[in-house]
Amino acid sequence: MEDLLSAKHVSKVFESGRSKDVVVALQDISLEVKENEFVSIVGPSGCGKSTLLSIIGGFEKPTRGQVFLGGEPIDGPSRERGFVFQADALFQWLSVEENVSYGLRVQGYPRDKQREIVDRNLELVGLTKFRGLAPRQLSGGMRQRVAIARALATDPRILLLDEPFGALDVLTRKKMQDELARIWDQTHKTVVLVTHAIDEALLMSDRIFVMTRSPGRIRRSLDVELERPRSARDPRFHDLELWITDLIMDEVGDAG
Amino acid sequence: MSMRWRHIAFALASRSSVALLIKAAISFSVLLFVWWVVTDRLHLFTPLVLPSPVVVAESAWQLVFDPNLSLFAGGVYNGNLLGHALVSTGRVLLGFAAGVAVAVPLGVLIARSRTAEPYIDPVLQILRPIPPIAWTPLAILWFGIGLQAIVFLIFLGAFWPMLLNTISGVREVPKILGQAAASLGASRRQILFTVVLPAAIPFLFTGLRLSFGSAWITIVAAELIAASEGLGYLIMNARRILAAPDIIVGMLTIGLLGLGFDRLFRALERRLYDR
Repeated sequence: MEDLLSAKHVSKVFESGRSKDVVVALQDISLEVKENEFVSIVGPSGCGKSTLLSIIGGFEKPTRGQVFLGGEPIDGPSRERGFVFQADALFQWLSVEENVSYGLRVQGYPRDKQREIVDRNLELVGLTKFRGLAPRQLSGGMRQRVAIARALATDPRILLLDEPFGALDVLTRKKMQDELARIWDQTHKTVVLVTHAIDEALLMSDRIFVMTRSPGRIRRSLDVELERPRSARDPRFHDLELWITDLIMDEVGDAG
Repeated sequence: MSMRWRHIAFALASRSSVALLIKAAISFSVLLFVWWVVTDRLHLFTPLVLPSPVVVAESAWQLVFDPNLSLFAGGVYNGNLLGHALVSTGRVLLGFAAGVAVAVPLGVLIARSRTAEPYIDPVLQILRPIPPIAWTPLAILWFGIGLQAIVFLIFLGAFWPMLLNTISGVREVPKILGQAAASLGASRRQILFTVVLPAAIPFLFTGLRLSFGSAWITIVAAELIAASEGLGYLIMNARRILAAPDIIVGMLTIGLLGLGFDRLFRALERRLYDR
């Protein structure tokens, strides 16, 4: 199948102004994501995985290399790439419904079309009953579901998730992972998920890129061939989890 | 019927606001009582320096209802209190509107544009510490004694707080809100109007309130010098003819109007932001 997204030799170097210190956040990253594929990028904190997603989102420019979506080079954010942030990025002054319809409004969708799409996406994330509430009246997990619905509403070609459940407590997080797996089953949207939780990546991904830090590089990519729905109780799941953990720990040990 | 009972029950249950009102009433009564005792009972001050509250109230009554005073007229004993208050309020609103109209776009520009900021900021840093009142002589030279000079001074008073709050408000908007909007297809212009400004509303309203307060302070000072009507003029003229009660009436009117406008802005902010 055709690659939808491809990063070619992407490097990102941060210079800290006065001292001319140079931090290599990403070094020569290349990866491909196919249409309808669910891909995860895992790695220890500080490995540059969020920076990489930021570059794919168009919020940051790579120092070297380029990212392409459908063959077109990425230059700045666009409605083709939906983004869900770890931190709460909902518009507090709008209701749940208005948050979900925001992208449709700025893109000038007709009203009845907006209504229809909002209904469908609220239904998808199970928040139909809460459409009139303000974001701060919702729990953290519900707010992230609104963020997912908002990003899905404008039907982007790819969905970028930056540690979307990183700020949630363990139980809510587990529920949200199941929820996302279910949503993906229904939509088969192309997804790139950045996470430090290996089980989260294993639960949903077709493919996992394992990153290591200093400098940030892709150490390995592996196809996850477990059938869905997956369970963390599956011994094969468990083996894979340990294997990836070792891969990362190795590197952390080396660096430390 | 049951609805009405529920309303009453609710009002009683929200004890904090009722309690606050009672406390405020108590402290005002005590203040008034002490004022009355030291003037009317103990006669610690001559009425020329500090008149009793009773005299002040009488004088207020007269300033409002005396048929010899008209709404809009020149001298103090030709214009009534309402007239002076209206004149002052009108001037404040003019200068305030002008100050806000200039400060908000400029503040947004400074906060959002890396190109414009280094050019504009140093100039503002030098002008900012100059109190509006220090501009009075120059304002009179430029505009003469009258409406323009006063509105110019109020403009300056309103401008600075609004500018500074707009700048911080816009800078404090989390970057990811703009990024989220951009990834949903919003243009830079749409992001400014549908994300940045709404997200900055709490700061903008603080700016409006501070800036109105500052405009209100400036009007009195400006009218003390460069006016022939208005509350500031009322006070100044009353001093000239040694009418202490009128001075106090003028001051209290300024205080009450300032409080009223502040409340109005707060109510507006709640309507706009708290859903």
